[in-house]
Amino acid sequence: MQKSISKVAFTWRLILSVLVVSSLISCENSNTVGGGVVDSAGIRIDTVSVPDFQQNGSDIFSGKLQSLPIGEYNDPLYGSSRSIAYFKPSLGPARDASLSLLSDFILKLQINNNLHYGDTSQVANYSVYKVTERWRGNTISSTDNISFDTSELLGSFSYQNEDSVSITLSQSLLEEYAEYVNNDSSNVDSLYNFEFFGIAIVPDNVSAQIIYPNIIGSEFLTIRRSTQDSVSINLQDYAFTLDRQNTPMFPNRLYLNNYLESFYSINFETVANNLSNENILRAELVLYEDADQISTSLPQNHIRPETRFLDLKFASESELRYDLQFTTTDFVGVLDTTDNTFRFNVTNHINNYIFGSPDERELYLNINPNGGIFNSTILFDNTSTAAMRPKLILTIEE
Amino acid sequence: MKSIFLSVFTCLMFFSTNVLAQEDEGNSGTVYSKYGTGFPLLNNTAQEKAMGIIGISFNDLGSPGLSNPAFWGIGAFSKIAANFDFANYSVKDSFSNGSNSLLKIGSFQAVFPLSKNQLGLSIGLYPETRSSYNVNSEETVIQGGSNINFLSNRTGTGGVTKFEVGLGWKINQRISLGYAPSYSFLTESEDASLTFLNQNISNNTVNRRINGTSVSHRFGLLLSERGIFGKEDIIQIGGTLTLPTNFDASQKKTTTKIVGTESEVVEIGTAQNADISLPLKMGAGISYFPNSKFNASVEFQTEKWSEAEYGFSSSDESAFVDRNVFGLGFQYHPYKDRSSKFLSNFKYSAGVSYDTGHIKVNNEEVETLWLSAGLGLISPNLRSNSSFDLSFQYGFRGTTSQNLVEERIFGINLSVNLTELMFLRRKLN
Repeated sequence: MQKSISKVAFTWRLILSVLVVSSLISCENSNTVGGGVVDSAGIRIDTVSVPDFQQNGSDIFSGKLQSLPIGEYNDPLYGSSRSIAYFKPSLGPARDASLSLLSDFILKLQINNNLHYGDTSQVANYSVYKVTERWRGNTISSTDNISFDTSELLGSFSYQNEDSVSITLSQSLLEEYAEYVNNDSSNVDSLYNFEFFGIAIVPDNVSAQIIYPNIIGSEFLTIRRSTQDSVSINLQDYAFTLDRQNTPMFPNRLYLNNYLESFYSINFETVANNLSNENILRAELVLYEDADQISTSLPQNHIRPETRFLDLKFASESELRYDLQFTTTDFVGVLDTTDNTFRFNVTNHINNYIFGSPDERELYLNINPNGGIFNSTILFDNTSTAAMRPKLILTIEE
Repeated sequence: MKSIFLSVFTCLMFFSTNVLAQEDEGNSGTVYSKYGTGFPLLNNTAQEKAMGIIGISFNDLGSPGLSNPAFWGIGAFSKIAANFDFANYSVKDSFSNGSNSLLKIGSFQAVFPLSKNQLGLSIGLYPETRSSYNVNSEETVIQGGSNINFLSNRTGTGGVTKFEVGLGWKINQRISLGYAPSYSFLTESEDASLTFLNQNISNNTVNRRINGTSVSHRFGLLLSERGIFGKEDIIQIGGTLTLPTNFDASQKKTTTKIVGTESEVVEIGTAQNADISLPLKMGAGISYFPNSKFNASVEFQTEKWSEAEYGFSSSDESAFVDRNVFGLGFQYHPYKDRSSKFLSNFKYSAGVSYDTGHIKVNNEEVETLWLSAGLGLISPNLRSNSSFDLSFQYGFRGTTSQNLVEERIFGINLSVNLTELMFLRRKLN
């Protein structure tokens, strides 16, 4: 009897062990069987209209940018732009070399020859004049007026698709500059800042092209005529001013440019309040570019830099210009050329309204100033045909 | 024998820790448990499962049973039982096939004789319904001429659990009654996850949690008669009644969102309240014991699921249909011969049951046919009727027509029954 019980005990241990082991090894993951019984977790796509964009206008800080627009062009769509560039050489290396008046004084400009704006078939002519008032690149604005003396031509050049241009400046400018370079007095820096204002490069009235010298690679040079030894002189300051004429009006359109002549603000609070506690997986603001009007407005041989990015960002009202120009964007819209849309992922902003209380509510739509390159675009607004109106496409879990 | 119990309880502790861990791994049971508060369970013991019956008319002095409270007043032993279930599901539908597995603690019950062979107290904790599903699907939504492709996963767990304290009263040799009020906890949790193949859309998981509590009542009756067809035979007729259980349940959905710069758990929509109810159940059965070595039972239970409510989903509620369960089985007890043969140390059971199902999906009732068998080991200690019962079931459920799921279920159920004389002073050693 006792032997039989031992056998039974062994049998039970065996059964239990098999049970435990089999249960552990038989655990399997879920599978796709059962879709007809258990409905899938789903989504729905809602398209909602967005509030009207409110137009704003300003100008930009136009000094110390990476590129300097120089030239004049009357864009058939966006109106006339006339941009004058200002340069001032530093005293730096030339002081040590004791500048000889038997030298040539040259401004070399490195040109972004793939960023022209205007009629590329025409030769653009430019004149160089002496600036007659003090200016500072850190504070100058694009709409400022800086006076220059057109009675004395310091130099001139023509441009058509070269990589760079070298402008020989007048002997009188060299002599004036050399007075400061060769001055050993302790207050020469102060004198230089307050008395020498640099040069202005002014497009001739017949010019039909804006070029973009790149600051990296552009410099002043002095070249001793006897030896051809050259001394590089850095740019101490540089800026541009922009004079706009025939500024356009676009009915049923949003008009944007990156010199902040026109930008917009928008507030999604009302939209978000209608989405109380919805599970928004993606909120995409879609703006449609009027690509037809943009592409058909240019005559043959005329080119215009494309606008490929739009910024949507928060900005403080007191520092609006600075924030729009220099702070990192919060939402970026990249041009989708398949349907000519700019799409912004504003999911977190909408969810902040639904589930929290956002610190910043007003969003600004603008084109990034892009280092000085002029960009403009026009978008369909809320009065356009329904299919092209700005919209918020919501992917919602349900 | 003690060493066997020690081994078993060590294994069971191992089991129970794995049960908790495996829920997180997404192991699942039947996909049909998605409806309402989950798939209704019978909570019969392993030997009752092995006989294919519910346990309304059958009792075993060596193990307590939850099915009929009238049995709790019978016997002099204190009885404690724990039930453990493992099931492997081979599933297929019109498109694919796969398998799931589920290991769970079934029920726990203790019965104490307040008055020897007359009045007994039962304390039980057991699941009434159980949700346990985990289903993936691949979905596509067309938006603006382009496709949004994503994977959907819905994983549900929970159900209704009852904590029950009841009394069984053996009025006389022929009639026993039982009453069992219980406090019911409804806890359901479902994670609905979306994984997008397009990285522009955030992946998301929404947790839906439903909670509610209620009090429910059930009653049991047992009629017993000896010597009808022979001088040793016993016939038992049992009946049970479970009143409807009504929950005032609340539902809350949450997910995780980036709010400001922080990731937060947020509530989706507004919390909802709705009525949920479990239906009236009535059962009856007859067990016949021609001698001490053999018994057979036939039982039936009907559940009025068509009257049950599930206020959070009208489609779930409309799927409910009345459920009928039929069971037929027998048991053979060679161990009572006290033979020294190995195979005579067990009791053997076999049976068959048919369940019409509590839901009708796409005009198809989800029926289940179970074939079952089992064996049990009784303690050789004459002062104890402790036992292990092990049952094996093979079930056929559902169909692949109407886009439904056909399940082949292999189940193993284990009941561990500790039956001892407690609270009684021994007069002789």
